[in-house]
Amino acid sequence: MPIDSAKVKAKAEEIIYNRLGTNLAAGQPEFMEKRRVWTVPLELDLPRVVEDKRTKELKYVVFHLGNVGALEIDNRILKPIGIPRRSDLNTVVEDKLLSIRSKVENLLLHTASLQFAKLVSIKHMMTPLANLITSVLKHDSYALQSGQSTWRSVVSYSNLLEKKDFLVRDGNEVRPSAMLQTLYQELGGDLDGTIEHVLKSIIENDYETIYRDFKIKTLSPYVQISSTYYDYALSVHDLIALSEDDIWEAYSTLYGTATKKRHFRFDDYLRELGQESINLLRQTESG
Amino acid sequence: MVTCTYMVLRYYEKRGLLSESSKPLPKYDDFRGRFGSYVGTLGLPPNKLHDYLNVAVPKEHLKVQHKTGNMVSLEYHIRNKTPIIPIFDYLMYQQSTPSKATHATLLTGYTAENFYTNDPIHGKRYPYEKPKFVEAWGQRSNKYILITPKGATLNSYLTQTSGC
Repeated sequence: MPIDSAKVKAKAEEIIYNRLGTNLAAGQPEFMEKRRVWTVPLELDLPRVVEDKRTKELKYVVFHLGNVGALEIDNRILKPIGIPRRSDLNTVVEDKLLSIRSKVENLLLHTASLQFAKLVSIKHMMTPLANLITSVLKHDSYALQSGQSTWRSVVSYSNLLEKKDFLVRDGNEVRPSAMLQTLYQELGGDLDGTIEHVLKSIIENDYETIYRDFKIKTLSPYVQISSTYYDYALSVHDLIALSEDDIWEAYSTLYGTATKKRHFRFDDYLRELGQESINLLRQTESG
Repeated sequence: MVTCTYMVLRYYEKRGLLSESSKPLPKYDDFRGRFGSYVGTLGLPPNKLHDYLNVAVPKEHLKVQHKTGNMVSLEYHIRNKTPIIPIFDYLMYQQSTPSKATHATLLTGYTAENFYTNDPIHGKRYPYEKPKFVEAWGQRSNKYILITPKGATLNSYLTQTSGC
């Protein structure tokens, strides 16, 4: 005969208080008939205090991370027979946080890809791609010279653009696809705008490819810094004002990027993200 | 809880109630740093506070008591100027929504309507409305923590005039 589940829950709360931590609580115990054991889910809410620098208001939010582990309690003697280690629970929490961060990054890549495409440093890194688009749109075709090693990157970009249906290939010749020509016309023959839209499409759908295969990592601090801010903004459901120090603190903690070199460039990343044409972050009156 | 613990130690230090009172307490960031590895994303297990204090401030021989009580017991300790740390559901207090996370605060005074606290989130003399506080405190089984220097008596606190 199973004992009262309220007693099991109270026992679980006692174990949490004594050995696990204040961000955890016991979920609904479940009796495992076969083993005569109670399983009690361990549920975690991660609290966070965010100060809106503009209003000076403190916002307390909690991330509901749900189940992060379980306790096992013997039905006969009401004693724990399985308590997860704190380090194991911590790992589960870190993984869940990583997954949230990755979702925010993906959300941002999908909603703000055009803004990222306008960043000067990104355009600079993607120069071969811009050269290709300019060339095919100006001259209707471009002859690839794959034999030369210096042209490898151009060929790689050409392959990427072909895969994305922006170019069509005929032997060594590449030509603008119907989609690229339409885009160019729709933008009134604006080459810069066309390049930005092609970049947008790549950032939105092929961020992993340009990061891993093309080794273009320039974009990642911009995405990470913006994500850090929007992670906070989403958690409090408001476009709050954070100080630069707060963003740096959160960014370096979340991404483990507290190097002097990164800190040195941090102000410039913020400045670029706050430029009128980018507008991913905005400087408030109080800075 | 780490912040509240530090506030309690500062209180005792100011009153010369720590056994090594000639040695100043570490700065808060340093103190928090020593606790950091124990806190992590799970929060500090309150019952381990004594062990952790032995690491953070060795040789102080502090006594940590985990109690449950009611509003009268909280007011009793405040009147006796014993620093008292209740733990409660802060989200329940602020938004009437229960959460899993537990918050700690240091009680320093009370009126008919409010408890006054030195609060890790809000700072000095932050008022908690009693009815709402009691409800949020009830979510954590009316638990509170007393940290006292070993050998200190009630008179040790009462001879001092200032609050917590």
